[in-house]
Amino acid sequence: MENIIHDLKTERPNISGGLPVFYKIIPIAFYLAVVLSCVLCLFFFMNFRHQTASKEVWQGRLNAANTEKASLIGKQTEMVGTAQKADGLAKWLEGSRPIQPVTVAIGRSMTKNSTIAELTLDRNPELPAHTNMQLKINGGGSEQIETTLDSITALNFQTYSANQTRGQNAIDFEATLIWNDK
Amino acid sequence: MKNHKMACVLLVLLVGAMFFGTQKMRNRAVVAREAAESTKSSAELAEQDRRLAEIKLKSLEAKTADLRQSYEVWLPHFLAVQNPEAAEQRISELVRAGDIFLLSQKYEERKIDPDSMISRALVATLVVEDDYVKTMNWLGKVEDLIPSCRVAKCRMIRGDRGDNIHVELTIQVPVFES
Repeated sequence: MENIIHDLKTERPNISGGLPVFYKIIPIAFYLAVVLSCVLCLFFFMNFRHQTASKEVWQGRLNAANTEKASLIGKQTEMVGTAQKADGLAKWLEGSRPIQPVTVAIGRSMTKNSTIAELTLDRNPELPAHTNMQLKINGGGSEQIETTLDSITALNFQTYSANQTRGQNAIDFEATLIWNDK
Repeated sequence: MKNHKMACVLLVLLVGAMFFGTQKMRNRAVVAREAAESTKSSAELAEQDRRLAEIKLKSLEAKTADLRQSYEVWLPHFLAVQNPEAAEQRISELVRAGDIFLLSQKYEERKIDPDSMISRALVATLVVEDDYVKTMNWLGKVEDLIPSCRVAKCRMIRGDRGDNIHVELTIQVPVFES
């Protein structure tokens, strides 16, 4: 039976000729392209992932730096504000040094023959750190003024623009007192 | 033959598609690298700015240390008087506590320096006459217990009695608005 079937198969003519040489390269090129493309795509993908990760790291550092910078600038602003307020208080306090020790020192500096007729301490409204002193002394002389000035100097005050007028058994003394910050 | 040629054309197209895909992948990698480099340079710049701000802060901290320390010490004294009524009450209390003989008193609120931090103050004009030692001690106590006050004017003359002293005082008590 098998032989019969073989016998029925007739000879067929070659209807499809072989591919030209140029076309034979194409499948080879295709396989090469597949391999190369896979390798390159993998390389670029790895590179892409690496760069993305790197970007995330740098982005994190950028955000951290910006946050810290903003915090530091905030602290700076706060510090400048406090310093300005402190400067305002310091200016006020500079013109608020106690004058009671001065009045007491002047009173104690009086010798036996001298008495204070009048003592005026008046702060300069423009420059409160400068105090205008007017002192009228009954009795005494230049020695008394020197003793009084010494006792004022001992309190770290310096006298400027001193003016002295002698009357009959009385001296009018005028000066500006300034705190000597040494 | 026709089918083989078609297959070859298809393969060529597939090679082209692979080239296109690879190129696309390369472009993505290049864009990612550029973005990473740009972020890196921004981060480095920001870190440099942060270091600069840190140095500035430290310098400012050192420069203003004394000023800020004095501010912390003095602020409570200023905060103790936040309105003219409180200042008036404080002085009245000291007059009462000192048992000083008060001839006259006048209180008024005045603008001191609008540009300054302390723009307002209660100005107390007091005329007292009492024993010299007692009055001097009282004056010292006023300046001691209200450290922020400023004796703007003080005139002293002999009092009516032997040991008495007549004192005309102008005291400014700053009204601090925090």
